[in-house]
Amino acid sequence: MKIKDLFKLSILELTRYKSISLFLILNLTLGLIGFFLLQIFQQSLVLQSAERAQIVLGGDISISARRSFTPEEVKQWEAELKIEKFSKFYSMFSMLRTANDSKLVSVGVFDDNFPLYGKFKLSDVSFTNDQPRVWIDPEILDILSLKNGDMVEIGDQKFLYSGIIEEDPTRLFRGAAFAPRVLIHQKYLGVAGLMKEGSTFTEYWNYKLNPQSNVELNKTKIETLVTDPVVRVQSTKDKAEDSNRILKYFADYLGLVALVALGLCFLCSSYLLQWTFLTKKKTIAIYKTLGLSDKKIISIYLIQNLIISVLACFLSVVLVQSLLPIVQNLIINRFNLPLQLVFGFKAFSVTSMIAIFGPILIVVPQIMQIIDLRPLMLFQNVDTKVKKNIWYYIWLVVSVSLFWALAVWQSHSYQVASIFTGALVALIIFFQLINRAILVVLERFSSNFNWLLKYSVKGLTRKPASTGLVFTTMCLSTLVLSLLPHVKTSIISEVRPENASLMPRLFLFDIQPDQVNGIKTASKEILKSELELSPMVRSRILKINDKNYERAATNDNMTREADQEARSRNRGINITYRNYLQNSENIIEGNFEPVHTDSESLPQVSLEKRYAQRMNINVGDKMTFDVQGVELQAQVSSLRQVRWTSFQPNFFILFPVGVLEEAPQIFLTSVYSDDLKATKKFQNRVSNEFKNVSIIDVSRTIETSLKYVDQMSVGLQFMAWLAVLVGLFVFVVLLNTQIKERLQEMNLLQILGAPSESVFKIVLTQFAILITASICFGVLLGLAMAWVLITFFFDIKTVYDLNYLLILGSVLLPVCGLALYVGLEPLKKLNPMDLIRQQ
Amino acid sequence: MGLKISNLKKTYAQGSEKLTILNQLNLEVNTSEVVAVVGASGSGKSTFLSLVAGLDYFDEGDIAINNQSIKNLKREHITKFRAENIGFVFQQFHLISHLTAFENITLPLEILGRPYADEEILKALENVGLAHRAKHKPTEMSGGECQRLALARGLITKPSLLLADEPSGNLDSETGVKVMNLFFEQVRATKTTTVLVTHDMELAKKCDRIFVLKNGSFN
Repeated sequence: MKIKDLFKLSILELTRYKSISLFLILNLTLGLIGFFLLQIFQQSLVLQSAERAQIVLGGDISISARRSFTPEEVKQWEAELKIEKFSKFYSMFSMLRTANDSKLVSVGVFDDNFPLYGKFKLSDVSFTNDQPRVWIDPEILDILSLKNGDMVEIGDQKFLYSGIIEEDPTRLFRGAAFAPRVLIHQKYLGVAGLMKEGSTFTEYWNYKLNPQSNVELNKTKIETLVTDPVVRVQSTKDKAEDSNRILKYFADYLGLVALVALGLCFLCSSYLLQWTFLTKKKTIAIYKTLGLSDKKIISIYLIQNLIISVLACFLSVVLVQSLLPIVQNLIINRFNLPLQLVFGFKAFSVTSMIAIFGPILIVVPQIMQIIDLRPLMLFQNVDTKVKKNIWYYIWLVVSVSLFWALAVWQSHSYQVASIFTGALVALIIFFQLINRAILVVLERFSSNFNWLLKYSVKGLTRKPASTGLVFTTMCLSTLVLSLLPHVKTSIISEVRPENASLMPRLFLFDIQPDQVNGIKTASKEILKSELELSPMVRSRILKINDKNYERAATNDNMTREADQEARSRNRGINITYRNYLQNSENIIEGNFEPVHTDSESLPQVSLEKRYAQRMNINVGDKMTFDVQGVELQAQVSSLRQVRWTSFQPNFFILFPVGVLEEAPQIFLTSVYSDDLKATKKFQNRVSNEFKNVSIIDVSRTIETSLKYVDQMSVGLQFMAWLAVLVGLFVFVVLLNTQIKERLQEMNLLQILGAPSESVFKIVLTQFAILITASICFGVLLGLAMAWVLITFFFDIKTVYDLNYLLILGSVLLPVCGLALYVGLEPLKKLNPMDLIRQQ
Repeated sequence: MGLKISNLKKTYAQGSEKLTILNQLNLEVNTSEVVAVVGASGSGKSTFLSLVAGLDYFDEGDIAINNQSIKNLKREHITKFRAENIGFVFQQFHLISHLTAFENITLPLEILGRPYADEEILKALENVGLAHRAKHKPTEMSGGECQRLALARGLITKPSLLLADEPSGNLDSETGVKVMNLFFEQVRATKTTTVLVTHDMELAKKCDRIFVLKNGSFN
């Protein structure tokens, strides 16, 4: 038999089992859509980040640090570079003040060469240094009504409002930032007095290199020269990988939800393939009797799968293409991301690979059964049980491992992927067990029911494989769907508690030591309250347990954990000192030492628990800090849990008093007040009297953060609904196959005297029990999982969104009900005579 | 009278034409009598069984089971009538695969809402030699055992009429003979009026009378 004949036979079989083939294609298509869309999103993000990396970075190579570079350092690296042009840039926070109002802004301080690449689109005046001018982000106009010719103050300098920044090529996406950007010329930086001792700013040295230069080689050379880990050397390649980190993290989690849908689709395919295999078993035995080799029969099976995969791919391409404008619209309007979704080859090829290799893996148990099948079975009853030998278990382990690998690839994290895959496998096992337990209980009690109910229950309990599949898929998809809103509600509730006075109104930073008393006085006079100011000392870690703490390189192939660890290493660390714990802190390990008195022993510091975990630091470990040039040793005496959402000045590292008092420091504080007018007055006074002090409007920042939470939640919900769609599809498929399988049984019941309505009621009851139980369990487990996730991952109080549960129930149950009603239609046309005619 | 069929006529529409399957068919079966209906393929055996079982409507004539006409019974009444009065044994057994032997037998009683004692069911199983198989499912039983179980199910409601459609057709000859011996033993012991549809003349000969279905009526 030639390959052409095998193809012919495969197509013949596919058309003979039309509805099953169609189910398999649709099932795979549904599973692929979410994954495909996500690939397009990720690839578009990567592509556009790479295309604009040079402009976003501001040069071919950029060297930056949260400190000023010394001329020696600059000379040292410039000797290595073939520079065509360079531009120096500063970025810092400050208050933008008008006569009546003020707003925290991110000040970009440019020079005459700015920008080295790309072009800004400004509403009125081009960049110039003829006089102190300021260009602002459009959203500032909504807060401070400015018109051309108005003067605004930044630091100690008045600037002329010169228009809005309509297009900023250095920012790939302009999200709802809590501090919008303003641009001023470097000529006025000194007079504005924005860079005082202890002020937080970042200095960038951006270089346009000779086109013949090897950027990556140059970068490596500079990294060797500049050993200070707080100095960041970035090439365009780094920038492409680094930009939109939050979006990439978000896409990771979207990917995991898409994997749930894909996993459910493979579970359904696996059931359908086994179901079809059983109906084809005799045909396969006939093939074997006629002399067709196992290899050829398997080829027929694989060709069928390949055709299904190709058709599913084609259908998903068509559907994704039609969905793309809707998703694009959602991304631009709902997410406020001007990301152009591009239907790329890479996204297509990745999805196709999964579409082709996934089903091949799924079909392995049937291939094993084909090999085991003896033609003798033609004379026997069809054995419906799958023999679970060692190879079956090997296949199972391989499948789970590949799924795990896919999860690692999607989440860029061994830890997240392992937890995700482990939880998914555990949930599937748990759902199967729960399903069995429910059925056992139901069967035990069914003896007291009427025959209809008794028979319905037996129909469920005696078919654990099919009921288990519906239960598992519906439970899992409902769980995913019901889990997310609780997380969102808990986050919202955490940052916006009912009693608004629990949250600070303002957050003040960059307060110089000589300004502390003035600010305290202003608070006492205007807000009638005492302010607690927290000192902040900039430092960097030199050693942990006498081991040097060096710069770690980051790249796109890193897992998220490694990337976070590297970033933590490369960042300078802000430390504080206090002899008390704030109400947002509590010690979870070791002892808090409030005062350091013994000069013979090391100061005992307290570390935030997650920071310690990330940095692999334990109680008792020794740390060496560089506090603005002075080396300081300390020992970790305790780990603290910190409620970051309190918006109090929280720190990773807390020193006891008696160590850092003499170090250069600035102060931070949060302001609590129910009196909005007084708060505004206080803000204006501070921003006018202490011009370098930055003030964050906490409620506005919370609104901004909630916007992000809301946007991310929409994305995740979209994926979760896709998972539910797959779950519903599995339900419809099961309904269809079960009804086909049971038509004879239903005819028999009628012959035995059961009214046709009873027969209809039996199947209706069975699926109604199944769907209600699975949705209820999915929701209940969603509540439990939400608690685990919110408590242990987000570290906040769980607040359930019960309204959403009502909405979910009122959508899911009628949809399932409708699917059930339509699915049961064939039962209305039952004809018991068929049973006699079959004889 | 166990079964009385008078002037039965059944036609089916085939396109614009009417196809007469049964015409002027008459049959009288006494109570407790076991009769055989034989006929070639396509002679109308299945239609005959469907009509007697009340699964289909006839055009003319009448069918009376245990002296009760089913002609004017509405659908829901005929279903109830069937459950109370007619038992079935099929060639392909048609047992419910997910129910045990015990549960398969109790099913007609459950449908009828007739109370039963476990001993009664076990006795019925014992009568067909399957007491030891009470907890087994049909998939775990041989063909002969399945047919014996189907027989026990057919008789459990003590029907006025038992309709058997080629009951040995799916069994090897040796098992077929054994099962049919048991069949005759049981229907005679329970004095059940029985119509056995078969093409096996040897089997038909074991019945009290034989009716040959040809051209839509009994010759």
